[in-house]
Amino acid sequence: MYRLEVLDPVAAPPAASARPAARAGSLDGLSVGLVWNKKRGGHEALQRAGELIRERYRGVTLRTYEGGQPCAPQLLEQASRECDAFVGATGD
Amino acid sequence: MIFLEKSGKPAVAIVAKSFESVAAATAAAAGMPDFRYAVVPEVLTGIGPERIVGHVGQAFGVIESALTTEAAPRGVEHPTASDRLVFEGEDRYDAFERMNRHLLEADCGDGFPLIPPTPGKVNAVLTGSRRDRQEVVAVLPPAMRAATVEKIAVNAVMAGCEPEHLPILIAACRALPGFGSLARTMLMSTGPHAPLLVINGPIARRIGINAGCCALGPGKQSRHNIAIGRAFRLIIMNIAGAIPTRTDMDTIGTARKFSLCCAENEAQTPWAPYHVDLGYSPDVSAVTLFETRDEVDVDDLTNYEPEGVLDSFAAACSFIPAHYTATSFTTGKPTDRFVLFMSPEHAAICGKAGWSKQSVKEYIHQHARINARLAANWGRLTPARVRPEWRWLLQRSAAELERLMLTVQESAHSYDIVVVGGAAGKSMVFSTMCGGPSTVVVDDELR
Repeated sequence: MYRLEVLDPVAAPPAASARPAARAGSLDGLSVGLVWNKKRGGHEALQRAGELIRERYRGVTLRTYEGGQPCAPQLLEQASRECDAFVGATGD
Repeated sequence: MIFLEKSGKPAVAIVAKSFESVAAATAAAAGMPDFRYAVVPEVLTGIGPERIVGHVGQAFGVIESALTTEAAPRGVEHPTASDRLVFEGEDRYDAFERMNRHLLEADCGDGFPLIPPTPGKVNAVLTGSRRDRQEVVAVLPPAMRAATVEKIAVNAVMAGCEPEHLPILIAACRALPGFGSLARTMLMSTGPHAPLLVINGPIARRIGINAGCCALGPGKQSRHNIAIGRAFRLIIMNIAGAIPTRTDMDTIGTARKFSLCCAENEAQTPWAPYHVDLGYSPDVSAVTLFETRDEVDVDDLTNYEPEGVLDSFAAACSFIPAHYTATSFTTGKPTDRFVLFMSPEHAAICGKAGWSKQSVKEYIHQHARINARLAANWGRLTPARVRPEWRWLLQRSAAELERLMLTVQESAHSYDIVVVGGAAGKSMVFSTMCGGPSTVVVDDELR
């Protein structure tokens, strides 16, 4: 019997440092941002998600944000100021 | 999206099933493994509006729930990252095979046999650096894991590296974050993006890194090149966390990803070496990390004047559909580039005629063109991606666009020249789309 001991090549993942934001239980009366990275297909997905949110909840305001890959920090900061919740789509 | 969630706003991403592992890895790398996403069964880029609408309708319950209700921590599948692994076999070779099977199944291998990173071999490679084995030399995207000197050495051993290779690998790791967020594109994209390491300076000569014939090919003359390039691939998998089919979503893949490393042929260039152009002393050793998307042979055994040779380069470059006309992959500056590997013979033709490296770049830039119909075809699919100053292209007829020739790059600054290769009129060009390159000095001499 031969015993081969080796060092693990895999680096440890970063520790979780953040928890998701609190959820309000409803989207009624909220502003919802639709964030698209301009990759094909994502726009249609967000349009449909927005339609369904409007059908399901009252008084929702939808705002669309078109970012790149990666999304510019200024745009994300603007979106964070203007909306209460977000749906994103990248096309893949 | 994770930025928005971290800002205190509920967020959810619509993600294709085949990219779910990418989403999970991205969330974990950002320190928020419980980020929410809604899975749709297909990638949306090519399926048309009708199916997209259907998929989003089916996923809407998850989207709605993700935005309105709390969820229990998902828990994340982490690699073991233990210190030691033990394999027992009937004999040394059986244990060797068991180790290889395990590491391959654990997504730690490139498919070729791995050298066992025993404590003794790792310690031996660590003698190649004065740095402490636990020093973190870089935090590597996409998984944002710490690259310690020891983890680099473990992967170096598996690839067949020697102690003298370690400082180069440390520099290569330090170069990767220089690509910024586009490092994620390089390592995770559906495109065949492969890192290329070019070594300049005395360390290349001291080690014997091949800059001549078959510098990027197999064989004994390139054994250092192969080991270093292979080690960097293993580092990308095991430290950076770009795992084929899980987080590296390359549609077809490329053999360039196994190993791609060479030195510049500084002895046969008529110009200053690449790193000297950046301001470094010729006595300094440096590692430059390029991204490559493809490779095209520049076969010119015919011309003896710079214009003719450079027209061959221009022809080889004339296939990129003027990506600078669009914005989606940019960070405010052009990220498409060409790396020109110019053979000493081609370089000598230009150098002897008095052409500077910059004039060579200018000539190729002016002559590498593509007709606007092909360029516009790329942008027309999603007009929102086309930069405002180029949207007039979308209004022109196909016949008009056919007659209009655009340069394939926005400026001559998008070309890099490195002299590499043996004695023939054969050069090579690589296109890139992830920005860079990133150069780091090898600051660590051998003990």
